[in-house]
Amino acid sequence: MTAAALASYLLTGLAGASSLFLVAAGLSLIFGVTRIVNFAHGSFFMLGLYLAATLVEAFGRTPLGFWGGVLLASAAVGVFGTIVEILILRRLYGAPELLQLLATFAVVLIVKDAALWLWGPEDVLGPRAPGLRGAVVIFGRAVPEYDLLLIALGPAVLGALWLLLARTRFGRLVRAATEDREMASALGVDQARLFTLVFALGSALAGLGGALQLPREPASLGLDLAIVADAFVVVVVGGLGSLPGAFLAALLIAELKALCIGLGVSKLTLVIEFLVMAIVLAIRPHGLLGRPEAAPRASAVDADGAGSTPPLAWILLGAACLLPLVLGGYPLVLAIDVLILALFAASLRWLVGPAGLVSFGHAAFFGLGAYAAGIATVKLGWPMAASLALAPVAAGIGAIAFSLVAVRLSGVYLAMLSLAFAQIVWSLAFQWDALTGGSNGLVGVWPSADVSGKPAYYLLTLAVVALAWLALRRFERGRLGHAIRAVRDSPLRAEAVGLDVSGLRRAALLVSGALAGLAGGLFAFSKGSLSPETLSIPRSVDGLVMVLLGGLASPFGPILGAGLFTWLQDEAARRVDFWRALVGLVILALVFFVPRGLAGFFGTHRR
Amino acid sequence: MTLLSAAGLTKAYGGVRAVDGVDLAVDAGQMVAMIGPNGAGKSTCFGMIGGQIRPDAGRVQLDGVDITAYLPKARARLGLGRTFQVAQVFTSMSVGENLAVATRGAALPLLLDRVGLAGAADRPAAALAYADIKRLELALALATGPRLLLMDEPTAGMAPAERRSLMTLIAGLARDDGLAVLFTEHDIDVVFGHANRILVLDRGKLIAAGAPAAIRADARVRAVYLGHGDGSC
Ligand SMILES: Nc1ncnc2c1ncn2[C@@H]1O[C@H](COP(=O)(O)OP(=O)(O)OP(=O)(O)O)[C@@H](O)[C@H]1O
Ligand SMILES: [Mg+2]
Repeated sequence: MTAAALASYLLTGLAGASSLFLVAAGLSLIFGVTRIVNFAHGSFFMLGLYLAATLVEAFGRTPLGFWGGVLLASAAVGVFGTIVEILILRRLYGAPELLQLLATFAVVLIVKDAALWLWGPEDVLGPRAPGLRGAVVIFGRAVPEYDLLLIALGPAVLGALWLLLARTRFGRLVRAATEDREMASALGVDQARLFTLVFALGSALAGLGGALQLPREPASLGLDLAIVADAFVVVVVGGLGSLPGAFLAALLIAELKALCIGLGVSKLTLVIEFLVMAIVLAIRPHGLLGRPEAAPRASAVDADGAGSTPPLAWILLGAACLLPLVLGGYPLVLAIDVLILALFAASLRWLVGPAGLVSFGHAAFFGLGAYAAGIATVKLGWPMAASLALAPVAAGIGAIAFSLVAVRLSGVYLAMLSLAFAQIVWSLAFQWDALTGGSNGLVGVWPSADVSGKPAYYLLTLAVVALAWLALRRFERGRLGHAIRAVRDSPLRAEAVGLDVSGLRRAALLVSGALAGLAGGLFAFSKGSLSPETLSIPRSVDGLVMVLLGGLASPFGPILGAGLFTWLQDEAARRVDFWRALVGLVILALVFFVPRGLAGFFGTHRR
Repeated sequence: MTLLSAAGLTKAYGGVRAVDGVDLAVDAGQMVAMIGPNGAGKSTCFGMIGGQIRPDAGRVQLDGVDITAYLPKARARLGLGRTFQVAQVFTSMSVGENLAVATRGAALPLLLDRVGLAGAADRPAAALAYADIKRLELALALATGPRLLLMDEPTAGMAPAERRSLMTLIAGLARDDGLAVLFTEHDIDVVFGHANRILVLDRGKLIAAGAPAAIRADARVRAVYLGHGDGSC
């Protein structure tokens, strides 16, 4: 590559950095003040882009129409963010992180279906910016004028935000709240108003970031999660709550991505992001310019693995064995789904509850298991038993790889990292055509002849899931399980009595990942085919919803949760067009009204 | 015999030197109190000795081994036990389960009896009163069989009678088992009633060290600390 070509790639990278920064800045501001990780931030971006497309179309493609449309879209998203804050988040500031994250994810689902309803499933193309349609020749290459504008805009917004924070009363309050919440509240800051204002500003920035992309990319429904994953990486690398950090990180990541594309290794772009994050966090666990979090917040809802396996469990198991006698066809297929999801949810409940490690990317392990089994069967011709055995091994290896970075983190950092990890595994499945079949997926993952009938496969699944569930329960109540829970309860105390905190967290992730992988392996053979959907973010969230439905406190929760969820989804998908939004509403209802899960209703043993 | 020695311990936060060049030593069987006004740097000192805080400068030795770079878990294995200013126990477990995590099968009832929690093995830690949580934490710190015990405000939140009995217990351990004890305490009666030596910290610096009688007479100490009036800060 010539120096000129390099320079032009770097310029493109700069433009990318600006838009990345706009989104990340809002996320970082909101987190700094409210301590809420806003999953819906990518949705705000997406909304900004769609709205800008519509508004510019309505106003006409004049400079005034364009810029008016962009600004109005940004403002509208700010208003929308305000409404979300007042209606939903305001009630959750003291709640466990898991509930906050789920609530913002509910917003993602609702916004996605709203966008589908308003703009349809097709991508919406925007006009180019009037007056900036040309290109400037720099180093002998044409660089779009609009890119140059964006390049200038990033630092300009950083400067404006800096002025706002440094020079105004609002800014002083924001800084006070970011640095020391207790002090800010002691100073008599009207917190509710401050939080709302910050949320409005943050969402408007995300909306602006989206609107400004109008000439560069079409509005599409997949943007929300793609963007929020990117923004998470930027914010984590830069340091939560630090705007200059976010700017630096956006620059670093966008330039590295541009370089990868320039060098013709565009597939590396996805992994490079994770690598950067891994390296930065390994050296600086709080990001480039971030500072250590004061005290880690109380972990999620109480979890308790006590009590012996009640007779009810054995009765249920007996009944489940007899199920194929009365059920057939589609209901039996659903029953297999429930079993597999119950194992998936049980592995996640173990991680989020007793181990205290909030994961938003658990589908990555499920998918690693599923794809490992699928690839071994289809590409390598392994027998089913061997492929199925490979599933937990592959997922376990993935979990160990993830844990190398993850064990040093906790709370929201971990949640964001897990999301980014899952996004990357998803991209690999999506793009590595030769191995995974890319977007078409893998077909022909059939079970061996003796379990190819549905009743037989059901019984196999039941046996594997029941054994895995019992093993997990034993593990949870054993010495190691207690030590892991001790680390969750108080890492300080655990270390002070000589426990290996990192090692125990790694073990917790390994167990959880391997079991999720086993569930994935069973899934692959039950469906006969795999697509990247298998390990997409929504599946991770499905898992969390099941866990939440069932409640963290009881090991039976996931079974109950998986059953209810499968039934609800099946009913909803058949009857309602916008079932995703419905799931979003169900999540919100759960978060607000039954935060401890439905198993709580059935008198879980609290000693 | 010197069990713990620290030299030149320093830690700054931003521009503030929380601890500034502190030297100290604790012998086996000795009870040493570290006192000083709020924010003097006591907890920061304990953090650097316990391994929770990485010092900017200085060294820590435990029984002749330089442990400055050791993680807390390695220090625990070498015989360092500690309690925290805000008690740290495993709140989702019962008292017995708490200790089972910390010990490798040591005699539970004895330990509970020692700290005054006899018969409480099955009670959930979350249901304990704060003074009992402090006791449980002490039992956890003792469960690993330490040779050096650090206690950051062990009697905070306890009634006067409870304070005395707890400190008498600790003094017994020091005397009988040769445990070296370093503790901070705001209750001046507890300090002068139990410490063999007293270290006085003010704004990160050690301003006096010596026997209780000498400390009581020290003019500088009186000025910055004891002179505050009621003596309990
Ligand atoms: N993590 C931290 N970040 C910034 N400053 C800190 C931090 N920890 C302690 N400090 C500061 O260092 C100084 C010493 O704090 P330290 O907690 O060691 O005091 P202390 O003597 O234990 O006080 P107290 O009697 O209130 O417990 C204080 O000024 C405190 O504000
Ligand atoms: Mg202190």
